[in-house]
Amino acid sequence: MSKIEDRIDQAVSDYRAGKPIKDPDLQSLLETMDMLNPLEDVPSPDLVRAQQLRQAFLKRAKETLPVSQPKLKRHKGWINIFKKERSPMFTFARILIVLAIAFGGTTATAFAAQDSLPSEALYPIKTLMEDVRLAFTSDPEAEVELLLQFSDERMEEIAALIDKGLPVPDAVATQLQTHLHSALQECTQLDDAALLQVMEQIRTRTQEQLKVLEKLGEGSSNQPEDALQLATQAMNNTRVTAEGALDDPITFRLHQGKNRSPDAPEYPDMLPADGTGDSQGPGNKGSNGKKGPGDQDATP
Amino acid sequence: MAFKEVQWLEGARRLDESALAAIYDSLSPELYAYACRLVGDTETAEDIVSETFFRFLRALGAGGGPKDHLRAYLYRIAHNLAVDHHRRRDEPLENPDLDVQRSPSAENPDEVVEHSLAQTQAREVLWRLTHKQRQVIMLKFFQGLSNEEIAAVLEKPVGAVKSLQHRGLKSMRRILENDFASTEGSP
Repeated sequence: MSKIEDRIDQAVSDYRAGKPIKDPDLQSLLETMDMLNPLEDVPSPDLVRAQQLRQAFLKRAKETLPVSQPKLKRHKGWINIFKKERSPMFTFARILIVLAIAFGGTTATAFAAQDSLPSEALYPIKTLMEDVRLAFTSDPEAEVELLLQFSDERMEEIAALIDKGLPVPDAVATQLQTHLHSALQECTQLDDAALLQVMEQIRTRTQEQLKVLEKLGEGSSNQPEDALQLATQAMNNTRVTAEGALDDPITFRLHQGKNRSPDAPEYPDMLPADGTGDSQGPGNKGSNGKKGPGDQDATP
Repeated sequence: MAFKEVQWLEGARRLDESALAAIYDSLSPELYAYACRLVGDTETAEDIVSETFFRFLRALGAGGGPKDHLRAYLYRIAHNLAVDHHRRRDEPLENPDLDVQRSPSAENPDEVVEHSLAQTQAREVLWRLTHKQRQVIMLKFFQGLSNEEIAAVLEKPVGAVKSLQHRGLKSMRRILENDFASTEGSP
């Protein structure tokens, strides 16, 4: 971390404590905090309602039963250690450890890498750690959340690079695109209720990110436009896809299935008629009737 | 993590009523203030707090919930709910409800309106920051969380919190200079 960030952090603390700020550069920066002062006042909550909500919480707590723990846990640790077939992730984890050691540190290196930017030496460790986290996540909902977190992280990196006046590498925007695309694909594994909930989140999240990208584009006249355009395009496509999924989840599942052929037509009714086009429900009209691997959850 | 928080968490995992009540009574006021500043509406803020605690309970009931950093965990949920609420609103800052945003000290109607507009502007600037910049600014300036606590909320190192704080302040200044400078002085 640069010294300026430490200085600002100290200055923020001093400023909040009412101490004078000697550095005029920091003074002007900290004065922007004053515009937040009107938010200091918070109206009191409705006490009756607050009491009702508290009671509702405690009532729910009474009704919530803790997860029962089996008296004897099945012993399975040694199975994982000594099993003959190693999972790809076991190998991957070993590679990570070797790399971490190769970079001259262990946990500290990995921890420091979390704050790195694409222009920095530790950045590959950061992305590698993300890949590992993803690989070790098997629950689709958690995987979607993780992918969305990573796309947020790429957005933060883009903002940080622009803020520092550094060019945004296309690779960052490409990664952002990949995260969003993978998140959409992973959503096909969710049941309908979860799918709609996640799609609503993605829709609103991408709307917000598009506003941020627009703002970043305005404030970065010396920036090559490719990366920002690609990021904006990826974000916009994801938003449109999420909106489509909210309208028609079945068609969304058909389009986003993980193993969908890249040259598959955009819409099911564009498939050539082969005489087996028995419709299986809404959104499946004109389908050739073959169920793709990504369609397995289409019928809840 | 504070000793009290450790004890609360232990109790919460057992779904102990007194521990859950203590957590609620202790942390709901600050979560309410946090949500209220973000969304500018008391009723929505109350709903966010309520939903935050229900989600916490649901996680506990499923054998999950926070392993540590209870306060950070609850702030994270509340922030996400506030963000979801904000995203769902088409024009969140155009029609502020003057009634609920009144400064407690303001008696004069003109002052009330002026104060409400200042709040709206502040909120608009905040919502133009990135997700994490906004979290850092809010948690640091209003909620009084330490860098370490904010790091726990964001699940990032302290260095990243300082970087986000720096970038957030710079973004705020840029937004004020570019977008609000021309409106200054106008009624």
